[in-house]
Parts: sequence; C-alpha cells; structure tokens
Amino acid sequence: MPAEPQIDVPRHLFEAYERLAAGPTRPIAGGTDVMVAITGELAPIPERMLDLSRIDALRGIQLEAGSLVLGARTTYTEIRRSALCREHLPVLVEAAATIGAAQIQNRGTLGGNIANASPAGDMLPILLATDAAILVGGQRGEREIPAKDFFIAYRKTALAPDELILHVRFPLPPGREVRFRKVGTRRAQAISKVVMALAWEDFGSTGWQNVRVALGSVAATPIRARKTELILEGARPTPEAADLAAEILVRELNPIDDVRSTADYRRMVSARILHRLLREAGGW
Amino acid sequence: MTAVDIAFEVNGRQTTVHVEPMRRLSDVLRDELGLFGTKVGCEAGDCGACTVRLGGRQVESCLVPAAQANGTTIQTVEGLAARDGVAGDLQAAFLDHGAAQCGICTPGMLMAAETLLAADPNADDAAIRDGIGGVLCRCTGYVKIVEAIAATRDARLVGAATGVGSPVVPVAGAAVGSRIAKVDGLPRVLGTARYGADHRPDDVLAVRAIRSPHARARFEIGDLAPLRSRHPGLVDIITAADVPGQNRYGIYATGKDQPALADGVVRHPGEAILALVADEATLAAIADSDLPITWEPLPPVRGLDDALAAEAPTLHDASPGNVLIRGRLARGDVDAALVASHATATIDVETTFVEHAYIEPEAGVARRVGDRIELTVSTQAPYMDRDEVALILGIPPADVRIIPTACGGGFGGKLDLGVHALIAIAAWRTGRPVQAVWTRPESMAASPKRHPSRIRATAGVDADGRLTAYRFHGDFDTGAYASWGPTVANRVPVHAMGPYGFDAVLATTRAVYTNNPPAGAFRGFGVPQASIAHEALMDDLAAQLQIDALEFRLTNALRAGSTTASGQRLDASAGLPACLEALRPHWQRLRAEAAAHNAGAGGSGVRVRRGVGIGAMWYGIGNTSMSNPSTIEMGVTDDARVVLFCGAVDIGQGASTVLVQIAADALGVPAGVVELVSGDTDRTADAGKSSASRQTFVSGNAARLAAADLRRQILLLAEVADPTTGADAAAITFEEGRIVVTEPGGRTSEIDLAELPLVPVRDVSAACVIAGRGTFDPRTTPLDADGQGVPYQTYAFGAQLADVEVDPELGTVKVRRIVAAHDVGRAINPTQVEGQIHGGIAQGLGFALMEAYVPGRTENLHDYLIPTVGDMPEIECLLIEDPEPSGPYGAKGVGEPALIPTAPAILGAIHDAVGVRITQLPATPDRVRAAILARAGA
Ligand SMILES: Cc1cc2nc3c(=O)[nH]c(=O)nc-3n(C[C@H](O)[C@H](O)[C@H](O)COP(=O)(O)OP(=O)(O)OC[C@H]3O[C@@H](n4cnc5c(N)ncnc54)[C@H](O)[C@@H]3O)c2cc1C
Ligand code: FES
Ligand code: FES
Repeated sequence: MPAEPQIDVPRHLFEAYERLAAGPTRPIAGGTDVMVAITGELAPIPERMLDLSRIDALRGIQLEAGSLVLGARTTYTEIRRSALCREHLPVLVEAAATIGAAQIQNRGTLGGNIANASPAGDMLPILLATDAAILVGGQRGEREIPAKDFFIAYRKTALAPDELILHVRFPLPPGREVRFRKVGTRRAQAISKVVMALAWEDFGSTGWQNVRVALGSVAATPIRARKTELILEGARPTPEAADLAAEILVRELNPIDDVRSTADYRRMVSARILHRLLREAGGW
Repeated sequence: MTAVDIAFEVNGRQTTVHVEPMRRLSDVLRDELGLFGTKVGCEAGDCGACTVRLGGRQVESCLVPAAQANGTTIQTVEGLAARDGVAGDLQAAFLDHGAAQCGICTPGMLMAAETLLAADPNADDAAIRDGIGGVLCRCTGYVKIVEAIAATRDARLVGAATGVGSPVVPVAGAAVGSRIAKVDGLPRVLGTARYGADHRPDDVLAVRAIRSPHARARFEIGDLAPLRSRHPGLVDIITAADVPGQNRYGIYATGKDQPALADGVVRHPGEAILALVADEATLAAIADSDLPITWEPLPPVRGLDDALAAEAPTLHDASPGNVLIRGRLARGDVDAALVASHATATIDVETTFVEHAYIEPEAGVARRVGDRIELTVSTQAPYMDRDEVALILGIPPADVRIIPTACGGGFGGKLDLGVHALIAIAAWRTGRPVQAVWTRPESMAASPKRHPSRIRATAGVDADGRLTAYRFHGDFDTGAYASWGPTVANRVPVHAMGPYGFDAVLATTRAVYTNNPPAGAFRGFGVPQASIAHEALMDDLAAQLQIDALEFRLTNALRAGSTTASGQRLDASAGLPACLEALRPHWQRLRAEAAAHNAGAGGSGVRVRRGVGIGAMWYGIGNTSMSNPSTIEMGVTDDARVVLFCGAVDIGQGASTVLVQIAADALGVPAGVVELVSGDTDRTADAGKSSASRQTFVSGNAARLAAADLRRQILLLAEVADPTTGADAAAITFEEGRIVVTEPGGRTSEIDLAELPLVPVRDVSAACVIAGRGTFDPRTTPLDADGQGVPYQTYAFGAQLADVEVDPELGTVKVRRIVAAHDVGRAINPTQVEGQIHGGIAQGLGFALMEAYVPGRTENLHDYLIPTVGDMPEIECLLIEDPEPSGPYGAKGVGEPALIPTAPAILGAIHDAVGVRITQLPATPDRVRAAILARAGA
C-alpha cells in the first residue's frame, strides 16, 4: 500500500506533452484500468499521473476523408449513442455494448482500451480487422501507427512513454463488411474467453478481398490469423470454405490455459465463431 | 502527498474537500463527507456497490479519482430521499417490493436505476436489466429489484407523486401471511443503515494482518525493534505469543484448531501470522517485505488426493491421516438390495470451492470498555462470536459484548470469526478503538468456503419403479481448519439419498484436512453437493425404466407416514408430493415446448438445443441431532412501548420481520406496534445462529411463546375472565401510559403502567414493566453409530424445474426459466419467501454454471464470477403450505432449501438438451463442449 501519486489536470495537449516529456508519467482517461491496477497493486504505482479528461482535443467522433475518426477519449457510451458510428461502422456500437456494464461504458475509453493493450481488450480485434491507424503525439511530433504494428508483446505497445494516443482512424473502404462476436461465461460484465472480428470486401465476381480475421484472448496480444485470412482470400462464404477456414484456424492458434478457460476450448470456439460468421455471411 | 482542494456539488450542496487528488471518490464521500450510503465491495469496478450519479451518468465511485470529480455534480443514495428520513418513490418501491434484502447492494442499485429512469423514462424491462447490469446482488436474484424499478417507471409515467406500492399494514392478528415490508428495511433503502465498515469512532486505529504467501510453511519472526523504530507510528505489533487467551478457536468444542495468529506454522495461503496496529497512513507505508520473516516453505497438501495419500504429511497431530471426522448412516442391507434390484445406476461427482461472495467484506470495530470488550461487527452468530472472543482474550463470556451491525450478506460465511479476533486483541492491548475492513482479495483469501467434494453414489430400483437401495460415499475438502467440517460430515449422510424412500441405505462421509483455505458453512452444508448425485441417479433410473422423471420422483417421494433413512417417521408437513404435483403442468408444457423447438431446429441457423430438467430436495431444519435452543423476550415498557428483544440476526433473509410478524399475532397487536432490539448480546437473550434455516422455525417458536407469555400476563393483570386467544378473544391496545383490554363481551379494563414495578429483562436499559419469555429447542435425539434417530424435528421439501438452452458448438448454457415449488409449512411473509427462493436460485445457478474458487487465483469478483442480472432466468414461485404442527403458525424454513434443487435441475436440463451429464461442477462452456465432443466421439 504505497502512498498515493500526484496528478496533473491539463486542458491542452501541449501542456500534457510537456508533462510527459518531463519524466515518467501515467495518463489516466476513464480510469477503469488504472484505478483497478492501483487496487491490485499489479505494478509499481506511478508517482505522477496525467488526467486526460479535460483535454477537448481528445474527444469527438468525425468523418474525415473516407475514414471514421474517434478521439482517444471517446467513451463506450458515446460510441453506443453515435449516429456516425451506427451508420458507418456499426460493429463499434455492437462491441461497445458488450463491454463491462453501464458504469464502465460511461467511463472507459477507446484510447484506454488500446493503451492498456490487454489481450482480452474487446475493441482491439476490430482495429486489426479494419486496418485502423492509431494517431499518437508528443513533443517530438505526431505519427500514425497502423494497428497491426501497435501491439508488440504482452501488454507492450509501440507507444513511447512520452506519447499520447490522440485519435483512431478507421478507413471506410466501399463494399467492406465487418462482423464482431464475443464469447464469455457470464452474460453481462463478462471478460472474453474469445473475441473475434471478421472483415472482408465483396465486389461480386472476384470473391472476398482483403479478408481480415482478428482475435482477442487467444494469444499474448490481439492477433490476426493470417493463414486463415489467406484461405478465405478470393473465396466465397460457402460451407466448404467455412469448414476449411475453421480447420486452419484451429491449427493456426496457440492459446493458453488459464483460470478463465482452456486452450482447447479457445481454439475450438474461435473456429466455431468463424464458421458461424461465414455461415451468416453466406446465408446458408 | 500534497492534498488539494476539490470542489463539487453533492446532493444539491456545493462542497469542497481537501484531499489527495488520486483518492477514490468512494473514500472521499465516505470518509470526508460521512456519506456512508455509498458502499464499497471491491474497489475494482466489479460489484457496482459504489455506484453514484456523476454528471448525470452512473459511475463506480471507486474508479474515480477525486481530481476527476472536481467541478462535477454528484448524487448519492442520500440524495434520493423525499426528505429527511422519508423514502423517495424509487426507495419506497424497493421497500414495498422486498427488493432490498441485506441491502448492501441497494444504494448502488438505486443510483443505477435512478440514472436509467432519468435518461429513459420509458425504459422497458430489457433496458432496466441493461441499466443495472453492473451492480451485483448476491441476495435477491434481481427479480424483485427489476419489479421495483418497473413499478416506479409506471408510477412516474402516470404522474403518481409519491410511493408506488401501497405498503401493507395488517391489523392486529393478521400479520402472519401478509406481505409487510421489512421492519428494518427503511434505513437500507435510505442508505442510512450502518454496516460493518460504517462505524468509525474518532481516534480509531486500524489493524492490518500480514498473511502467508505460502500454503504450507514454517516461519520465524525476527527482531521487530528496527521496524518499530523506522515506523514510530506503529502502536502495536501482535504475534501468536501476544494472544491474551487461547490461540485456538473453532466452532466445535472438540475442533478448536484454528489460531488467531499462526504460531510458527501456516496451513493455508492467506493465513494471518502477525498483525500491525496503527493509523492507516502508517500501515500504508509498511510493505510486507519490510517485515523480518523467514519462511521455510513445505510441500503443500493441495487437495483430497494429496491429503489421503499414504505418504501425506499430517497437518494436525490430532488427526493422523488427515481425516478430521467421518459421518455414517446405515439402514438395511445395501449390497443385497442392490444385487436384487431390477436396475441400478452409479455416478461420480466432483464439485469445487464456492465463495460466498457477499457484497460486504468482513468488517467491524472493537472497543475496550474497562475490563470488557465490545465488538460492533458484521456477523450471523453474535453469541457464538461472544464465546470465541472470550476464549481468545481469556476473559469470561459475560465480559464480551457483540453488537451486530447491519449485515451485508452472510450465507454461512459470517458464522466463522472474520475480523473479530484481531480487532479484539488489538483493542484489548492498546485500549484504543480498532477497526478492520477486509479488502475483497483478503476476504476471498481468508474466509471459509463451500466444501469441495468428491462423491460416488449408486442407486437401485425394482421393476415397478420403486427405489430399493442407495449407497453413497463423499469426501469433503475441509481445508486447513475444522470450522464447520463436522456439520457437513454429519448432515450429509442424513440427506445423501435425497427426499425419497429406500429400503436400504449406506451413506458415509469424510471431512479431510488440506492446505486450502478452511471450508466452512455455506447455505446447505454439503447437501447441495450431495443433491447433484441423487438427482442425476433419479434421472438415470427413470430413463432406464422409461418412466417420466417427475412421475418417478413422485412415486418415490417421502411423504407423511414415510420413514426416513435415519428411521424417523414423518408424521406431517412433508409436502414433496404436493410440490411435484404443482410442477406437473409446467413440466409437461415446458417439455413439449423444448421438444418442438428441437424438432424444428434441424435446418439452417444456429442449432441451439433446449432441455428441461427437474431437481427435488429435502432439508432438516436446525442443527443435526443437537440442542439448538432459542430464547426471546418481549416486554412492555413503562411508557407503553412493545419491544421484542431478539437475539436472532437478520442477515438479509428477513428474520427480524418474520419474528415481529409472529410475535405481533401471538400478542394480538398490529405488527407496526412492535419495536425491535436485535442481536446485541447485552440486550437480547441467546437465539442461536442465523444458520441451518432455523430462525423462522426455532426462533419463530420462541417469539410466539414469548408473546403468548406476555399476553397471558397482560390479561391476568387486566383480570380477564377467559384469557384464551382466538378470533373472539380480548383485544389489547396501547395508549399513553396504559394498556386497554377489551373483552368480547365489551367489558374494558385498563392497566396503568406507571403503577407497575420494573421487571428484569436481559436488557438492563429497558424499563419493562411486563415481560414475557419464550424458549424453544427442536425435539431431536442423538444418532446411534448407524445414524439412526431423530436428527431434526421437521424438514423442508421442494422441487424445481429448469428450462435451458444449450449452444452445442460453444458449450454455453442459458437458463431460460425456473419454476420453483417449495413446501414452507406456512409462508409467514410470502414476499420474503419468494425473495429467498429467487436468491437461492441465483446462487444455485452460479454453483451449476460458473462459480469456481481457485485458492490464490480467483480472489476478486472478475475472475470469480457470480450471476449478474443478465444471467438470471424468469422465475415462477409456487408456495406449498403443508403446515408443520410444531412450527410457529405452521412455518418451517426456506433459506437453504431454495438453493439445493437448482443446480440438479439445470444439469438435468443440459442432459435433456444435448445428452451429456456434467458431473464436474461448474458446468462451464469448455466442460460442456468437451462432454459433447466426447459423446460424439464415443
Ligand atoms: C468491471 C470492468 C469491466 C470491464 N470490462 C471490459 C470488457 O468487457 N472489455 C474490455 O475490453 N475491457 C473491459 N474493461 C477494461 C477497461 O474498462 C477498458 O480497457 C477501457 O477501455 C479502459 O479505458 P479507460 O479510459 O478507463 O482507461 P484508463 O484506465 O484511464 O487507462 C488505461 C491505460 O491506458 C493509458 N491511457 C489511457 N488513455 C491514453 C491515451 N489517450 N494515450 C496514452 N495512454 C493512455 C493509461 O495510462 C493506462 O495505462 C473492464 C474494466 C472493468 C473495471
Ligand atoms: S466498490 Fe466500486 S465497484 Fe465494487
Ligand atoms: S440485497 Fe443485494 S446483495 Fe444483499
């Protein structure tokens, strides 16, 4: 039970950047991960905290040049209520509704989910499946990191200690479909046993293009199942393709046993979910 | 750390606090502003007890740092009252609907609901469930909570100004059977009830236990002087050597094996070895690694196999082979009867540790008052606590006073000492008040659990479908210390075969020591584990004989006139046949619906399968073959107040209300007249523990006798000619300073209370001028070596149906509906009986599908899952009232019975749906899926 840390509450990004540049500082957005970490004493408690809740530049949901752009401070409740999300990327709404319960949705943020980088972070497979880009910034400038390069190792990201996540950009290519599925033991307040996002573009004659199969809770980071993607690339969602993709996915995944589930179960469920999503897409 | 000024509006008042900016808002509200209505159950976002409204949205205040509250508008439960002490409409609805049992979740529920209704006045029931999905309740099964919120919504939509329900206010003689609100309910919905953590005297010190990281180890404590000099704020350091009295306690006189502080050897992870006493800041600055402790870890005995192995180390010298106790019941020749049977079935069952997960962790405060000690503590058993604390301090029991706080859930877990020992020792030694509030992980590591079990059972049946013989052996992991292990070992053999008649039974049990946390009392004392086996066997045998599973149970059900396996003849109130008959139409309809669903689901789409299962139970009320008396006093004070002095603790189950209802009718006054003094060992007589579903039956009888005694004395004083009771009996009314008695013929007489001398009652502060007293002890006999005798005076019976949906690909199970029929003798308060059934079903569902405590690994409420509102099925309660002649107004009990049939019914329904029998609990998706695969492969 170490002593409590100090906290800064800036209103502007440049102030936040100064703080981060000055030394080890832990941002806090909705606090739904940070405050739990403090209770659990999971990690040494940072001496300095940086409250992001007053920085307006981190908020907002916009359409920009063919992309949907969400501020890092966007809460799940804001996503659930957003007409733009509902229209352009409804899986975000669907996924946000499965996170924790109302209290967590009111406080928890997209940026927090990304920076926390839990393998069970429910939004993360959607970022991978949609080729989202994460805009980060600090005193050294801003840069855009593709989601696929962001999650480096267990709870390790490409974000530097002096950087903040500013926005997430979801490209909206025409003809793309995205699906989301989460499986847990409990029906509310459930931590995922497996979470999956599936995306594809369909232009009729050529079969599925740019197929993405992304999963959470089956590895140390959220991952894409590249071999399975390859099988589906150029295919159509037929029963045969679904059977084959499911079989490849089982072989491709290498999850672990823990208190929440077994490796076998995770592998098997991932395959069944993929199969279902393909069946629903194929309408058979 | 530097504190800063944080300003916000709370409940309409602008407030500034000077606090560290990272302090949790929950702590700021409670400790700085005294708003104790906001509860803390986990500090991890999991329980929702701390939910407040911040900027119009519901948030968990334990996850909000004070800095983020700056400039906001906050509403807490205290802000919902209509005015001081008067419930707002939502609060009144919770009270009227029985939506608050222990009440610890109530403030969070109310704030979630208020926020929801403010944002969406038309919220349908699904939206209500979504809105309260983040608040856990362990008592109610959420049913009445959703009803109360829906009722408030409806009343607001039609513009009703105040309370939505109409409070039930029965006249004299009509309390029993009526749905009066909980007599102690108002403070619970107002948020003013004080629980274990809510008593914080000035000058209070905290005590922090240093706990073992090892399951089994020897340890030495080195020189503590450097620690003292580094932390001058340390007031006391307590080790085993400092325990003033006996450093061994335990439930049974022969089983006092648990130290308050381990003495050189630890036997489970989380066992306390040393206690630090200081202010909170001093304690916070000391890391566990600062302490001079040398550990010598030893190979732990992790479970039954380890403990029973030939080479296993002996954990307690008094129990070589690690068997704490054996239980046995034998009747007839089981082997012969099984051989002669037309068909038999055998099953192996394994269940795991289950955590009580009451939302209120253990908490309390101790004060030394001269040579006495007073504990204000959350408990189910004040008198037992008193005797245990006396033992540990080495003082007479009369010098210990236990004052129970409002109890935020018990379910058996608060029948053992929690914080008691260390706060008592610390206060005794320092002379200062000492508080302890366990964190959630601490509570989950150190408190007792439901016994894991390993059971093998065989049942036989003759060609006509009549049960013949039952053989049962169960091993129960009792953990590091005896606790309630003997109770489990003795209760299970009596109930092992289920509520059915057999010619021959052999049931044996062992409670086995391991290096796990102690397993203790948990709703049902081992009977829920045993019921998994007997109900699976009933299904199996019925299927072998191609007899309907409900009819098979009905044919074999115990009933009035039956003789139990312990040789006891049931003379009355054995209403299982009535329960099964009440379920029959539901059973037939649900089975047909499930079959139609499954037949139609052959084509495309997700092939979810449905199934219906049934579980039946019986449960002896009160302690097994042991005297367990209850004494209750009832008095009239010199200023004409009627007071029930009741040592039975209301842990949310509603004991206080039921006893007031019984006493009111027996005295012949409206229930609203009766004041209650509850639980305080200085002010009430010993009513025994709130356990074994005994308070309605045992204390109910004591309350009835006390009230009848009081009535008799009043009528004597009034010189009434015919002091009988009954519809046309004399009426008693209380007026200022006097009692008026009106006889059926119209003659009235008055008793001037000022003229009467004071009479002694246990509560010396009560100025009673007339007092009645009642004692009741159930009639039982000792059991012989074969378990034959009369273990209980009466039994509760019940049966439930579960209608489930199984996703065979994912192994997930959704319980759609439960229909529950329970013979309660007489429902003294039907709302409360339903509430017990709903809550029992929620716990039974958790036991069946999701709850698994793994020592050292699931010590929080996100890895240890209990059902949320989203997991609950629709529930229909069918109350069967087959009166118990010896019960108060015919009543028995329902607290534990409600939980027992749920899991067997769910497991039976899974079997019906997908053809697999899950025998290792909980039936998590991976197990269900693996079983389905194994069956397909076989
Ligand atoms: C009861 C409960 C249930 C939950 N259920 C789910 C669930 O179902 N699914 C799920 O995915 N998660 C769940 N979570 C986890 C959590 O709510 C989410 O991960 C949430 O999105 C975190 O957001 P936050 O704003 O609260 O993060 P915070 O706690 O504020 O921060 C999390 C981490 O991100 C960093 N950070 C935050 N914002 C930024 C930024 N802009 N730039 C750089 N670093 C930043 C912080 O320093 C910290 O390390 C649950 C948590 C709780 C307590
Ligand atoms: S105490 Fe805040 S969620 Fe449990
Ligand atoms: S009433 Fe909900 S936890 Fe007790």
